Amino acid sequence: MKIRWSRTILLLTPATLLAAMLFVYPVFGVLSLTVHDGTSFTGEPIRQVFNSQLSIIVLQRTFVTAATVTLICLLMGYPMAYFMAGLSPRKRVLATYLILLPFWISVLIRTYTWIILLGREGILNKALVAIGLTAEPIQLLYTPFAVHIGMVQILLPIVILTCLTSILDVERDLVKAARILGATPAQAFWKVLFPLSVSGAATGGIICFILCLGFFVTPTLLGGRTSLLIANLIDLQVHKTLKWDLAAVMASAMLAATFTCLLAYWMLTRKRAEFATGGLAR
Amino acid sequence: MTSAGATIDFKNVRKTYGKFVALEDFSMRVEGGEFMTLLGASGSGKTTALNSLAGFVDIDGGEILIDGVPITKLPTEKRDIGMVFQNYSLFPHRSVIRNISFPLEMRGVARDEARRRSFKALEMVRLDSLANRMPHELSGGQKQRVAFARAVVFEPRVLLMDEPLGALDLKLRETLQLEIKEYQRQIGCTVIYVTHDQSEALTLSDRMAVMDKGRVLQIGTPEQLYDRPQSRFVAGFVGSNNILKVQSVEEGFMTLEGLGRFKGDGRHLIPGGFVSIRPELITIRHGGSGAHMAHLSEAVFFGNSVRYILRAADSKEISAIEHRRPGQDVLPLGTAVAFDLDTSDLVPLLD
Ligand SMILES: Nc1ncnc2c1ncn2[C@@H]1O[C@H](COP(=O)(O)OP(=O)(O)OP(=O)(O)O)[C@@H](O)[C@H]1O
Ligand SMILES: [Mg+2]
Repeated sequence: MKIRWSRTILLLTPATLLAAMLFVYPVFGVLSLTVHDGTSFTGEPIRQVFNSQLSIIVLQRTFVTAATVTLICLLMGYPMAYFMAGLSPRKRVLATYLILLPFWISVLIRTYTWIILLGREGILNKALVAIGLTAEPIQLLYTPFAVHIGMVQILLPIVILTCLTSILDVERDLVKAARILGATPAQAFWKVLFPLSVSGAATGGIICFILCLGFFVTPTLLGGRTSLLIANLIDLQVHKTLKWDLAAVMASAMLAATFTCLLAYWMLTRKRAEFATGGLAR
Repeated sequence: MTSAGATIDFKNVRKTYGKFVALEDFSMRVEGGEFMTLLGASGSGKTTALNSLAGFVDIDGGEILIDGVPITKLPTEKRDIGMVFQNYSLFPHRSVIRNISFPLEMRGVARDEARRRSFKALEMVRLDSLANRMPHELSGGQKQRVAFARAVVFEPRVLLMDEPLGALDLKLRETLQLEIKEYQRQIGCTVIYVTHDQSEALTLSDRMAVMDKGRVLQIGTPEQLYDRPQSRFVAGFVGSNNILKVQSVEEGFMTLEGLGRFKGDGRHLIPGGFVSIRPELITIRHGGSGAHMAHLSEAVFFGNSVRYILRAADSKEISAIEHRRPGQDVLPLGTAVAFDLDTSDLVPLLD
């Protein structure tokens, strides 16, 4: 098909202008803050951030948390998606609706519910005390545990749905072929379905990881002092200490990390496209 | 790579999807080493029949036996059946050789042995130079040959093929038909082959079964099905055919509805019943006059023959195929011709 350029340009212009004004310009503003103090170039903000114990610890913690949450989401999401792929189309649609249901409720509210569940007077603690597992309520809220659980809850649907897509993308006949050629259901899964859907699941993992890096509400509400993430620290520098240059360095570091992930994502999807189907479909 | 083909018995198999009956009283016996084709229109239940033999669907009634042993309780992977799918279903993440060795791997054959045997299978389909290609780097015909090699490498006694050539162009289909037949002769396994292409069925089969609405209508050799169709459906489905109605039968004469009286013996025919006759058995006399006159209403040129549609006096149409010599012109439409047929060529149909 021939692309009609004049129309394409016309259609893309408003969005491009908006993105340029509201996105590209401010991002470059932030990037320039990291190396330029308004009058001259300087390496001071970068040096300060990477010499500061606090920012290194928080940066590290952010990456570790993101990785852990992603792993948990994948370990829970892939089996769930596998189960859904085996349902009849009608039931699968229903299951998809159920999984998307939480998206109708704001992240803020979904996060607050954890306070009710995990607090000292929360349901979980009351239950634990009632059955005698602990004498005293235990500290669940304002711990890394609470942050992880809150993040998993928000991100899991996304991971489930990307895993589901990647499993459904695998031609059904391939599993049948494996079976008739002598594979048990387990072998057909590990030798055929899993290898063919794992890269799709990995792209879901990368999206999840990127989203984790920017989490703000959850650590703010559910985390204690020891579970602040980089977004909280940036917020602190912007609003409390007013060190915008340091905030800019941290934000840029996250931006770089995100782009690295996107690069991995792009390479994965390209590889997937290459052998997306074994048969004619291409 | 040889295997003594197993006999397969479908006994009154029934399969329903909800209220829809996909197979009804489906019975068929395939002898060891036989090439059996299931021929039927789309939706007639051919794939369902193969799938129930392969164990991809559970049947609701009847029994399927391989070499006399019921297999319906056996899981798919234990049935030891080879299968070629319409869309090849090669594993996209495995190279050609590792696709072919897959069934051996699943059977715990040692690595070297599996490799050796896979290469032999690949040699049979003459693709040994492509052993390390990935499936997406193959052409359609090459994919189909690899799929075939993979299906027979473990020497199954039964090989199922579900429209294996459906996605290929005509020329390649014809080449591969001959190859498949040749490989099957070498290997000796029993084949059940599914197609909705009647000429493919006639070319390949030792015997063929015509299916409609989940039932077998007629089983027989290609010659039997071509020469002696038993029903209007089979007569119309296998090759092209004229289906006519017998109006009356008298001593030494008979009348065909819309075509008139024909001289000849009609004792094997029932008044009011249907008969079929192949177009190539209708004779035409150009420009002549005779008892049966018609106008040409259509002519289709095939090179070595021409198919004419003749419209008889009271607008009943009948098709005739005439062999053609080089230089012979196709008659112009509207020409009046005389036609005739031999009443002993009329095949009575049961319904
Ligand atoms: N999973 C299913 N659920 C419901 N109906 C089905 C299912 N599979 C097949 N059918 C129905 O059973 C009938 C027979 O299907 P089958 O696939 O055996 O046909 P076929 O003869 O192989 O046709 P084709 O030549 O189009 O492949 C069809 O009418 C089809 O709609
Ligand atoms: Mg079919």
